[in-house]
Amino acid sequence: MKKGWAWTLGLAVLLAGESARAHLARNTAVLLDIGERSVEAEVQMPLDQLALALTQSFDAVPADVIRERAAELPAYVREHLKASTPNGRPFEVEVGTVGVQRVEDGDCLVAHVTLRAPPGASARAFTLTDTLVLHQVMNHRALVSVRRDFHTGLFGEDLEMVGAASAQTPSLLIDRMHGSLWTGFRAVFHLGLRHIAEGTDHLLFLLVLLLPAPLLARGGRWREPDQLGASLKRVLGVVTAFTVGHSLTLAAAAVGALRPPSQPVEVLIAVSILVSAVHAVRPLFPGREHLVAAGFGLVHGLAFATVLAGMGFDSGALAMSILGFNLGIEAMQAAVVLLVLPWLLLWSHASGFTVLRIGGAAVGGAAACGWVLERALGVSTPLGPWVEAASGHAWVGLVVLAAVALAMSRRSRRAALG
Amino acid sequence: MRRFAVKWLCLGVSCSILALGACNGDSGTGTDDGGTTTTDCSTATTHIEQVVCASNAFLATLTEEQKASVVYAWTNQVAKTYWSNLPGVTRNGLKWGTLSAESKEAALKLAALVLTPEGYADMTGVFAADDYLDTQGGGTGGDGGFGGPPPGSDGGFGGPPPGRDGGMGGVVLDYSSDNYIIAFIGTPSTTGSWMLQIGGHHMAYNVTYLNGTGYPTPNHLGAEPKAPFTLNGETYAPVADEGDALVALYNSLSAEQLDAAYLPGTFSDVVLGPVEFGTGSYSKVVFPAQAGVLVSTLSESQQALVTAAIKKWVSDFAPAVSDPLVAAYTSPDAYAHTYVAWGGTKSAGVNVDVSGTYMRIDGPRVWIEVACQQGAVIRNQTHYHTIYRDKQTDYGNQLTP
Repeated sequence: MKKGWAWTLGLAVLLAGESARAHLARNTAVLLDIGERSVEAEVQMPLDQLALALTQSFDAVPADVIRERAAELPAYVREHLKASTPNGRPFEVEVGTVGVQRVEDGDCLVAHVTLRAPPGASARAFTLTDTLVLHQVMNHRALVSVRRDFHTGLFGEDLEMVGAASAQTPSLLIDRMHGSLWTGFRAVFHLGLRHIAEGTDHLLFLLVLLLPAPLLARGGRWREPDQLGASLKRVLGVVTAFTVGHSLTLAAAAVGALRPPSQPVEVLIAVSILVSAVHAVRPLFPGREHLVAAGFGLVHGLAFATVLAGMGFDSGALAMSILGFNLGIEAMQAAVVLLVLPWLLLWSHASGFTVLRIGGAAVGGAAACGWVLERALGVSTPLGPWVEAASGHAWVGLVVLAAVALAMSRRSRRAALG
Repeated sequence: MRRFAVKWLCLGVSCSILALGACNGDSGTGTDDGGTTTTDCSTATTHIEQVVCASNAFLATLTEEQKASVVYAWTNQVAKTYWSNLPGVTRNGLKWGTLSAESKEAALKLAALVLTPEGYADMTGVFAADDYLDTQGGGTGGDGGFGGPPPGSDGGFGGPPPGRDGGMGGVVLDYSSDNYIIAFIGTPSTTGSWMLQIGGHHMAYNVTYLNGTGYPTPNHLGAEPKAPFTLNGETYAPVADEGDALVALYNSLSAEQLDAAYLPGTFSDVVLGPVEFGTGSYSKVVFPAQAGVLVSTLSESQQALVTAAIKKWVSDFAPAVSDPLVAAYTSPDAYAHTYVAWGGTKSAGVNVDVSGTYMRIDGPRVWIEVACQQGAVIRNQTHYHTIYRDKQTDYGNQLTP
């Protein structure tokens, strides 16, 4: 069966790489993912201490003990891990996969347990009683942390330590009532903002796509600046199409309908920048920018989705996660467009805009080539780090763009008057 | 006319600044002179005066950079709880290995004032033990491959900051006295509040001074091996006498008393090691319900052995610190609520050569425990981990919320 395979695999890993640090008696770690109605717990028990608890013998070999007693371990976990509402109604305990895993510096028995609140009760406040290992090993400790809790903005990136269970104090009250959907929503919104702000490749894609936006394509070349209204309409179309595209894949991936491998997605994103850069030099798809943007949006959404994957297991929290994260992405994108577009529009009516368009496309194209090489072939180029470093000075770039755009536009107006 | 006035004004200001500068220079050399003369701490009469003087003498040997990293703010509650019985854990302060010969000498002088000759010998012995482990291949870890990792030897809880964000991943087990540290929480003074930390793997001296009164706990001592060993022609056995004192006590107990003193469960380490590591709070320090045999029910000679064992830990500290504590721990009132207990393999009895053998003295204030673990490097022997705490005055009782 499936479980049997996990065991074989776990023990194979164990036999392959035993560490020299097995002698550090470590703590059990209990990691909690808090939902509205249920809590998912991941319990990581150091193998040596668990074996000691099971055999009370200092001479037993942990791996042998675990192998021999594999069949009884799920029941052992069920017996020693309990939860109840603050007024004592027990949670339903369901033990899922149990197997040996390497955790940081040592091997642990890792058990996945679902704790379901009784009908009508919330899973956000409960008493956890953990006597695993420490029912026998008097000096053992279980450090309990919350890993995911939408209401308090924990999305699996950081752990929040909430207490320690010991032989003296095996029970602890876990109260997450202080959080709210609004707190979680804000946190996930910020995550979306940060994701765009820190995602140099996404920003670059957007900027390169904007470069030819004020211009009119005719006869396979970018010509004179378009009417302001038409330009704005086109930009709005492009941004909306991109948004629709990535919202679709983001939602699909977040609910688990799509689980794309991240490497091809990352390569495709780099390719999308390259295509946009070429388009900025020579119109590849004039008038159909919104369709291309939507297509690339689908790809970019997959990349964002890896952030959301496993963020929440509650459908409510998950929906809020997708919504908040997406709104954060949109807000940041809108901010970038609002900051950059006016200067592009202004400059496009003056001379020298071609230099910016070609220059910008060249930088974007070069960075994209670097990323393609890095992500597809694993070749390291100096381009990636260079672009990352440059992106740290984005504000300087914006100020320079604005200043040059103003100067150019004033000069050409003066020339027109003269 | 106006320009003339400005000129005089400028001249006047310049002169005043020069004069002030000269004054500052004078007073500066004055303090320096004072500092060097008082480095000879013979004028200091009380224990606290001597300790503060020796602390300042040590600090005076440091570079500005070193000074900045050896003194922590007294308000840094978290730093107060930065001690551990594990190797490879990041600790406060300056590492012994980074100190100049002069600084080391000054640090040892300070330690000699805080500790008694017996305590000082424990400290240097623990240093030597880690250097000895290094000579025995301790730096390589040497697990001997899979098949027999010693379950639960050399363990401890606490260790890295709670959770998983530090210390343990990629720990390099580099046993050496160079890894031991010295740190001050707060500035040494005869009237204020401050704490001296000297520690590392197998040692944690956390001595808190409040208005001149010293509190020596939590205190951790350990040594691998526990048996005497020779390093550079000198023989050491830093924690052997502590162990021997307890063995003498348990050997004196009758079969019935031993039976009554037995604790169920398994002990792979001390129970109240650095459970509060890096938290700045007592919240994790929960003493188990008292259990074992009441000392007041023991014979006079047996009680004397309890007293002798307690003194082995407490009397490591200067009499000014330890005398009132010994009196408090060993009074008839205290013994009416003090228990001796042991754990481990019941059939093996209280045998310190058996992994998992555990001994403790648990009073209204005093808490002493010893865990016997299989060696991490010297595998065919057990070694001691010991903890001495005071239930009322750990950290000078400064961690209550």
